[in-house]
Amino acid sequence: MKRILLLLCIVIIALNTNAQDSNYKLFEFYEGYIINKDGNRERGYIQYIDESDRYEKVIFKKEKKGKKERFKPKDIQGYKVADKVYHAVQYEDIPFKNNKFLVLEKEGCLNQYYYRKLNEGAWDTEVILKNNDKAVTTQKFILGFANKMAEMVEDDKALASKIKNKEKGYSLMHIEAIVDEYNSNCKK
Amino acid sequence: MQKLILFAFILLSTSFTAHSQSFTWGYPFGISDENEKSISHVVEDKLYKISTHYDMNIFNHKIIADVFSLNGLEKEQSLDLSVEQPPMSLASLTFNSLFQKEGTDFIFFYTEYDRKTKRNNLFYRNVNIGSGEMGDLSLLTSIDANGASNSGEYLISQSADKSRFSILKQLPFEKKANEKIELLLIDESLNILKQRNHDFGVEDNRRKQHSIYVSNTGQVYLVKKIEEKKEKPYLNLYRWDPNNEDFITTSLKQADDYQLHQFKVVFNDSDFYFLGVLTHEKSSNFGLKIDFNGRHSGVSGSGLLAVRFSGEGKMVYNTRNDFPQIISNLNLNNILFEEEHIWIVYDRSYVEKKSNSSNLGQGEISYDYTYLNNGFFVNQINATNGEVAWVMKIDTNEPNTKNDNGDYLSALSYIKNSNLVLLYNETRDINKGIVHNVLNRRFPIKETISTSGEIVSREALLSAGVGVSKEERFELNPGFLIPVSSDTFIIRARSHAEYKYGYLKI
Repeated sequence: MKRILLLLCIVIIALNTNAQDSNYKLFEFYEGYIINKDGNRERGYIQYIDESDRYEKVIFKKEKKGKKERFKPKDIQGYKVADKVYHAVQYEDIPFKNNKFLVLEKEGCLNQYYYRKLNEGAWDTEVILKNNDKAVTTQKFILGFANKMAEMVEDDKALASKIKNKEKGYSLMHIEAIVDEYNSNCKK
Repeated sequence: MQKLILFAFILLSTSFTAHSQSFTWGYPFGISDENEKSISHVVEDKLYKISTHYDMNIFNHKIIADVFSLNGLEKEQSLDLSVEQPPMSLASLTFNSLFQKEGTDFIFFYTEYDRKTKRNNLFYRNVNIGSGEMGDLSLLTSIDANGASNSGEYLISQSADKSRFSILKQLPFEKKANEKIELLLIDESLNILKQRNHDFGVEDNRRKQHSIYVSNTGQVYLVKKIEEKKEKPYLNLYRWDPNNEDFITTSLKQADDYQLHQFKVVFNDSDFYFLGVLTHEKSSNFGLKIDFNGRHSGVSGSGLLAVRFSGEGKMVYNTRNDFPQIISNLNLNNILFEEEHIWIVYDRSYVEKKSNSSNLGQGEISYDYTYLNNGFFVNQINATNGEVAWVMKIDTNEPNTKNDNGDYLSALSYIKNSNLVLLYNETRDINKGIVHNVLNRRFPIKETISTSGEIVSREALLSAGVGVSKEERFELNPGFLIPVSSDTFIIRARSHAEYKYGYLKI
């Protein structure tokens, strides 16, 4: 019994420490919305759950005192809570496909997402790119970046060629700049 | 029967009052530290929030434009419009000021000291705050400097109709010489229309305090603090008419040496108004005052100085009004014109800034800000002669707040049906019962004041969608009243973690 109590205390302290990192308090409900399968937004209150869980599920209430509903990435298109938009994305991961709520970082013809995972006590960030055809983790780009990235932006011939020719500023280290350039050209 | 009609009338009028304004709130977004930031809003195809602040780490300003949709007032993106910093060093180009040209097209001014020519150059470029697109830098003018640390300064202002700019060149300090300035009048295409050098006839000093304004017709006004030996400091008001080169000085020095500790300048039609709060202190170094609850720690106001110049540059009046009593912590909040009346709304507020840095040697600089608000003060002056018609003191009993930008402690003000309307917070304990735990929530209060200074109504806006209930985390943030149309404003609410904008239809 004492062990359980001690464990509980440690868990609570850990949660509080985490919560102090931002103004948002864990497990409280904040105003936000979910995006239904049909693309419609439904405004309501979303629980600010632990970061690892935010990529897997969302707990939603239509009213402040309403009934809680739980959604997984297969159930809805996305949600927004605490200043971040999450999209449900099925993407090519290593080794298999994965389906998660990913944080939308850059929106355009090529969307850039990320999620973070705890790895031996430190947060690792994984970046995922999504165009009209597919979504893929950039972890897959480590080998053969030029060809794989050029394929993601193939309809922008000039940009794809710069990446394929390994021009300065178009390497794996410059993914964000490439996404910006692609989205900027795409708008025109 | 008569009683029934009267009852029905009261019921109808109550219902009308209760529904005379509506609130529609947008999506929340994370709060940010707004202490010592200059924040402005632009409403075009979207709502743009532009914040600028001086960043000690880069010795430059950070300029951020947050973009919100007009539909759901949802934050869409943030653009960093600051000067780009080179890797491992600091940019010498330094942001000076920004002004709206039209829509999302802005003009940004920068200064840069050129070591080769020993000149302090003033540049400008076009910036679109919606796309983040920045034009090329163009040189506008320059100052001959006496080294990088004594290179002079530029103060820039824009007329209300955006057709004119005025630039004050504060020339580098010179020992045992008179203080000199250069004034420029510029058109909207950044062409120099007129230029003037001026010698103030007082000894130059390193702590120059100027502010500059320009009217739609190109009349340039300058307010300057004069600090001479063995004299109490005072303000001078200068008017430069570039059409006939008239340069007129009006001393705002008071016979009893009362200081103008705060002032605002506004143009109404083409007329210039200077409205300054006088304190009964006779020195501008007000010093530290200590009292038990901070309620009298700030600067007290004892009167109002109203100065008006006509569009042709003729002084209409310079009227001093002494208040019936000294008002603690008096700060100008808003000035509203309505026909021949000028309404002036003041916050009775005080901010205490205290360092909480434990290791200043390592460059760790941080502060705690404590805010208090005793209430508000309103007066109306007659625009034709500058005389105060009446004053009104509104007391509130709001608890002090800390490190929250003072977001809950001010008042929004607008005119409706010739009455002044104030919106502010009032903290109330919502738990009832003889023995109970105190549960404070802020209630948005709407107070309407007639043109003759009587309270027409005072009501808590229970259906505003902020404050009032235990479950509602958002409370009114009476800091911004952004006009959208003649009867619609954008306002803001805040919780412990988030802000949200909303539409107020009056």
